[in-house]
Amino acid sequence: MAIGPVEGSPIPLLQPHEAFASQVAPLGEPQKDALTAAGEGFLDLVVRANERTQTAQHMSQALAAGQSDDIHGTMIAVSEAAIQTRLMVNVKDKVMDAFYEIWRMNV
Amino acid sequence: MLGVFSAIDISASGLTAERTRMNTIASNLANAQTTRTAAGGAYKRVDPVFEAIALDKMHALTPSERSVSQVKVTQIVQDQRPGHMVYSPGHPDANKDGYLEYPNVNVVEEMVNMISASRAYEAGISSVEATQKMASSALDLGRV
Repeated sequence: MAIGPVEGSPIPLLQPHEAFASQVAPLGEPQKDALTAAGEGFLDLVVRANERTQTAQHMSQALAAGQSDDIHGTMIAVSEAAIQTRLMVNVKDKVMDAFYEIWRMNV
Repeated sequence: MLGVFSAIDISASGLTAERTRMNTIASNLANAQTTRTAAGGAYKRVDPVFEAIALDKMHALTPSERSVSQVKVTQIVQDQRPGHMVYSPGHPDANKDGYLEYPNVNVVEEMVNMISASRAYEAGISSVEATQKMASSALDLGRV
């Protein structure tokens, strides 16, 4: 037997924020892919953080080796990598928080 | 979409442009007494030409964001003002009347340009720092 929303529920179902409405499937419909989508989104963040870190690394190496003298470009690449990595880590922390929140749930 | 990284990229383009301007000023000051060039005649002072360039495609701008642009030095032009003539008949580069043409570089003018370039560079650094701080405080929102 499938469990559906309660008919005529007095509590209105939560609707996704309008900014994300196009990206998030409306509640009430099957969401078997929501977790996969979130995982892919997070993976995208990891890939982007990795790309920026690699760029920063290459530029720092070139600067240290004397192949380039682009001081501000290198420093900016390094701080961009730091920002992108912090964003990725913050999202990870939130996901882990959510996981432990459910883990600690009293049954 | 305009974001944190596009703001930093725009500031970085300004820093690069000011660095190029600093190079032209260094060239002008270094050659303030140069009377011989490959093209013949005295050195002519150079000036960078700044041009507003649209952000690259990877930023996926909406039509209203198109006017936000980076800056780029697209040309370095020679100043064609005549240099000052000094009577020094003993100099090998002097003309047949004994006058020697010195570059059209005015050291005081170059110093003013240098102050302007270094202040503009500092302004660019400040704008990068402000953007970093904004991103940093936005990331602190995640902490509860």
